[in-house]
Amino acid sequence: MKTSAARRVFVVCNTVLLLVVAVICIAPFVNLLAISFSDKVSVAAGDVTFYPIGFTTVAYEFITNTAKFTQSLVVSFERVALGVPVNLLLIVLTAYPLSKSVREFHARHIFSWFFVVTILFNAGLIPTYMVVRYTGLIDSIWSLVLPTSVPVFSVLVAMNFMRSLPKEMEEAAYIDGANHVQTLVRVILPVSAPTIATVTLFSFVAHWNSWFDGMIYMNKIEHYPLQTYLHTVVVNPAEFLRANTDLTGNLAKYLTLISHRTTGAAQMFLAMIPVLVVYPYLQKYFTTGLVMGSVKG
Amino acid sequence: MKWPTVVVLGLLLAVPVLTFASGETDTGAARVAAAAGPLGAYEEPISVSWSIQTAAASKLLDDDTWEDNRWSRLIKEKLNIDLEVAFTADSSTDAYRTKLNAVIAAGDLPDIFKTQDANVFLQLVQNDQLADLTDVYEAYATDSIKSYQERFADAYEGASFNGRLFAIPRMNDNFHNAPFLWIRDDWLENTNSEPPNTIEELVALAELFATGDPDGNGIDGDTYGLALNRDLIRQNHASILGLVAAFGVPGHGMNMFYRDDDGNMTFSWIQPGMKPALALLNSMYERGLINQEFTAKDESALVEDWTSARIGMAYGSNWGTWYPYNNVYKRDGVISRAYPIPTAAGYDYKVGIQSNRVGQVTMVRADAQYPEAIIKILNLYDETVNFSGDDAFNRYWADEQYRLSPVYIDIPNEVYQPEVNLALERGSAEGLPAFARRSYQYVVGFADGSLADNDNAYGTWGQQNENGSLNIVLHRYQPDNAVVQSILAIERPDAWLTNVSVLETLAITAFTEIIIGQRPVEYFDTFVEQWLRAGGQDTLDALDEMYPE
Amino acid sequence: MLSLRQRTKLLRELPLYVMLIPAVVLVIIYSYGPMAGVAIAFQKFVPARGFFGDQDWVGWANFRTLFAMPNIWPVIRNTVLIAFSKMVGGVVVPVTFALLLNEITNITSKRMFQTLVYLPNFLSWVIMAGIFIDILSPSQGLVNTLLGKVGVEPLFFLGNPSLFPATMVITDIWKGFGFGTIIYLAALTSIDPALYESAVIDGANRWQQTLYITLPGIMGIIVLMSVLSLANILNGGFDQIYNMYSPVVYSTGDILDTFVYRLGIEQAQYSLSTAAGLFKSGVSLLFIVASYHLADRYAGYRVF
Repeated sequence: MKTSAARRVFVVCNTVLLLVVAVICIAPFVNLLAISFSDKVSVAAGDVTFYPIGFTTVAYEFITNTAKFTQSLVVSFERVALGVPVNLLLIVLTAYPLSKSVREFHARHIFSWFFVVTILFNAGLIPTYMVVRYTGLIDSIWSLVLPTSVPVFSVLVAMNFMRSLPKEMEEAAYIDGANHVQTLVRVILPVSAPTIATVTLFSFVAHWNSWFDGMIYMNKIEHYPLQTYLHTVVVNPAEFLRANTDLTGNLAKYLTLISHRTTGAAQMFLAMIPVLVVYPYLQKYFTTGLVMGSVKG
Repeated sequence: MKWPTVVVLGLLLAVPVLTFASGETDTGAARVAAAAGPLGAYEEPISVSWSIQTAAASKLLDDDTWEDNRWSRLIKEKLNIDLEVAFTADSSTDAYRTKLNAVIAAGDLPDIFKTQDANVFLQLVQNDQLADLTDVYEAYATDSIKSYQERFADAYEGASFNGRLFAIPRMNDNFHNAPFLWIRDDWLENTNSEPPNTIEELVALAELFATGDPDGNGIDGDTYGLALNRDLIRQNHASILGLVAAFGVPGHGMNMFYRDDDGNMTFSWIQPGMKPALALLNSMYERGLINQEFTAKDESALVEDWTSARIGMAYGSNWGTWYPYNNVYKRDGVISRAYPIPTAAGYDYKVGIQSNRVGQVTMVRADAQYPEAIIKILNLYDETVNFSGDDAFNRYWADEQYRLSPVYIDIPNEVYQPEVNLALERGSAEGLPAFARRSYQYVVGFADGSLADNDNAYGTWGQQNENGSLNIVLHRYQPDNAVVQSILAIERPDAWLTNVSVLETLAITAFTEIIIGQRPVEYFDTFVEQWLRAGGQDTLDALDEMYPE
Repeated sequence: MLSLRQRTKLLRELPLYVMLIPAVVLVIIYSYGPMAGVAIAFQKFVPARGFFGDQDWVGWANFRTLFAMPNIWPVIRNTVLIAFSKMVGGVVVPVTFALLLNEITNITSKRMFQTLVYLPNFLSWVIMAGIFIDILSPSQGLVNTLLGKVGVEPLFFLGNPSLFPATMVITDIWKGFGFGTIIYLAALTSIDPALYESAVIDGANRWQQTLYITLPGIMGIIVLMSVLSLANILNGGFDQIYNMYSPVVYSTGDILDTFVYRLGIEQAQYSLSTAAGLFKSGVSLLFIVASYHLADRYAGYRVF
C-alpha cells in the first residue's frame, strides 16, 4: 500500500493523540501506585505525586498478612472457575438461538424481550436476598454464581456478533446436513473467538470485582471472596464516621488505624493483578477471528 | 468443545436443591433446665446463635477464629453454652446494617444480635420479634450489673418500652458529643497568640493565621484561618457546630430537638442565633479567612490540609488526637489541643448532644429457647473483665477482644473521666477499675514522654488530660449549664423519618449558600419557613405529643 | 393439526428452544423471581414484619410521597441531562477511539494502547474522588495550573453548579471508554477483509473505506449499545456523583439515585427506594421499546 503525505500526517497526529490519551489514563495509576508504597503520613499531607515518599510495603502487608486474605483469594478463584464457564456456556447457548432470524426461529422476539427486561428491572436487595435464601444458596459459593449466571448484556453482544456473520457459512453447513448443535460448534464458535474473548473478559472482571453479593449472601467471613474481604479492610473515614454516629474513644481508635488512601491504593493493585494477567492473553483473540474462519468457510 | 451439556446443567440445577435439603437444622430438642445463679452452668450443653459485628481492622489474636476463640471457650467452660455464629458482618460500614435488615425480613434472626439503629430496634419491639428480658434480668443479673443500671438509667430507659426491658443497652452517656475548638500548638507560638476566648478573638486569630505566616515557611497568606468542611452541620471535624454554639444554637447533625426555655418543642437549625452566626461565617468567607474551596472538601480531604500545615484551627469533636490530628503529630511532632469554644457577647452559649437513650443495643429474638443466656453471658463478662485482675482484663478486653463476647459492656473511657481526674490529682492509679487504669497510664505516660510515640497514648491524652476535651465538658460546659440534650430517643414520628433527608438538604444548602454569599443573610428567614413547611412543623407537633414535658 | 411443513419447521426449531431452557429457567428464578418483590413499592414495608408478613398496603402513596418531595423535578431533570450526555459521549468516544486505534498498524502498540485505556475502568470512584478533588482544585490543581498557562481564569469544576455536570460527564467518559472500545474492536474483526480488498481495487482511500465499510460494518453493535444505554436514562452514576458532589452543586448535580440514597440514610426506606427504582425501570422500558420500534419501522432493523 502506498502512503500519501496526508496519510503520513494523519498517522503522526493519530499516534500523538493516542499517546496523550494513554498518558491521561495511566497517570492516576502511577500516582496510586506511588501512594500504595508511601508512608501514610506523607500521603495524608498530599506530598506524593508519581514516586513513593517514605517507601514502605506496610499497606500490602497489612492487607495480605492474614489468613483471611488467602482464604478469600481461594474463594475468588473458585468463584471465577465456576462462574466464568457457567456464564460462557449460557451466553453461547442463549446467543445462538437469538441470533436466528424470525423465519428460522419464530419465537425469538419473545425471548429477546424476556431477557432484555431483566436488564431494566432490578428488584432490590431484600427480594433478591429472599430468592437466594429460598433456593438454599446462603453461605454457598453458588450464591455468587447462579444469580448472575446469565449476563444478558454479554448475551446481546454475542448475539449481535453471530447475527453479523455471513449467512452463507450457516447455509453451507445446513446443506451439508448439520443440525443446530453441529452448526454452532463447528461453524459459529470457531469464528467467534473475538467475541468469546470479549465476553470472557467481561465475565471474568465482573466476577472478580463484585463484592456486594459476597457481603450479603455469605454468613462467614471465611466465605468472602477477595473483593468483599478487601472492602472490610479498606474503610473510608468519611464512611466510617457516617456509619458510626455515636463515636466514642473506643471506636475513634479505629480511625487511627485507617489509612484508607494507602491501603485503598494497595487494595486496588492487588485486586487488579489477575485481570492484568488474563487480559493480554485474551487480547490476542481480538485481532484474529473472521480472517481465519472465512478461509475455512 | 463437545460438552455433555445436559449433564452439566442437570448438575447445576440440582446443586441448590441439594444444598437446600441439607440446610435443615434439628428442631424440637427438649429445653435444658436453666441453671440457678447468675453464673451457674447449664447441666447439659445448650447452643446459642449470635451475629458478630466486626470492625475495620479488628483482629483475632493467636489462633482464634470467629467460631472458636477465647470468649467462646470461656463461655463454654463456665456456662456450658456452645456459641454458634449466625453471621459475621462489618459494622464500620453499612455491611452489618444491610445484612441485618435482610435477615430480619427473612425471619432468620439469631438468638442474640445487636443494632445501632433506633428504628430497627423500635420496629422489632413493635412487631413482637424480641424477647422481653425484664424477668430474666431481674432473676439473673448480678448486683454489679444492676449497679450499672442505676448509673446509666437513661440508657436502660431507652431500651425499655412500657416498663419492660427489651435489650441490654450500651452503657454510656453522650456528654462527649459536644464541640471544641482545636488549634495547633506551633501556630499559636509562631504568632505569639493565646487561644481565643471570644468570637472576636477567634476572628482576629483566624485573620492572623490566614494573612500571616503561622507555619513559618516564609510565605505570608498561604494558610487558612478557620477550617470548614462541606457537610457543615454533622458532628465531625471542621463543622460549624462550635461556632453556632456560641450564638446559643445547640447543633448536632439533624438530631437536636429540645424544649426551649418556655417549654416549646424546637429544633436547633431554626434558632434566631443562626442568623448572626451565618453572617459572621459569611464575612469570614468573604475576607478569605475560610478556605474558598471548602464546598468541595469532605473531612478526609481536610486531613491533607491539616497534616501539610495549611490549616491550623478547626471546630471538632473530642477525639481529635485520635484522628485527624494524629497525622501531623506523627509527621512533625506537632501537638493539637482542644479548647472550650469561644463565646459571643450577648448570647448564652449552648452545646448540643444526642439523647442518652439512643445507642447500640443487644437483643434476644422472641422465640429464643434460652433468653436468660444473654444475662449469664453479661454477668460472666463483667466478672471476667472488671473483677478478675489485670491478666484477665488484658486477655479478654484489650485489643478489641471484648467484641468476641456476644454481649459486652461497652463502657468507653469517657465515662471514667471523673475517676481518672481523681487519680491524676492523687498521682496514683490505685483503686481505679482496670479500664480507667489504662487511660490513666496513657495520660501520664504521654505527659512524661515515656509513651510519646504511642498512638493510643496521644489519643487518650488529648481526651483525658487535666485540660483535655472531656474535662472541658465536665469543668466548663456542664457547670455553665450549656449542655442541651436532644429529646429524640428511640421513637421518632413518621413525618420526621420521611422528611429528614429533605430537611437536612434544605439546611445544608441554605447555610452553604449564605456562607459563600450566594444569598443574603435574610434568606435564613425564608429557609426557616421552608423548613417548617417541608415537614418540620409536623415533626415538632408530633414530638411535642410523643415526648411530653 | 399441524401441517407436515409446520411440523418439520418446529422440529428444526426444537433444538433452539432446548438450548434456551437453562438460561430461561435461571432467569425466571433469579431475575423474575425477585421482581415479585416490587410489591414493596406499594407497601409501607417494615422488615421486622417479615417479607411475607403482614405489611400495610398503601397503594400509590410511596410514589405520591416521592413526587411531592421538593426538588424532585429538578433532580429528575439533572439526572436525564447528565445520563443522556454520558450516553452520547459513551458511544461517540469509544467508537472514534476504536476507529483511530484500528488505523495503528503495529500490533504491539495497538495492544498496548488498548490495555492502557481499559485501566481506568478498574478505579473505584471512592479513590478517584480524592484524586479529582486534588487535580481539579482551583488554587492548587493541575488542571487549573495548565489552564492558567493559556490564560484561562481558574475554574471551580466541583464547586460551580454550571460546571459540575460537564465535569461528571467528562470524568465518567474517561473512566469508561476503554470498555466500549473493546467491544467495538471485537466487532471490527467481524468485517469481511474481502470488502476492503475490493474497495482498494475500486480506488477508495482510507477515509472512504472507514466511511463506507468500517462504520456500516459495526453499525449493528453501535445501535445495540446505544439502545441498551437507554436503560440508563435515569442512572446518572451514583458512585461517582455521591463521592464528588456537595450541597452547593445540588441544584445541577443532585440525581435521582443520590436523592433517594439520602432519603434512606435515617431509616431503611425500602418502600420509597423501591418505588423510585420501579419508576426508573418503567421510564427506561418506555425508551427502549420506543427506540426498538423506531429502528424497526424506519431502518427495518431489529435491535435485538
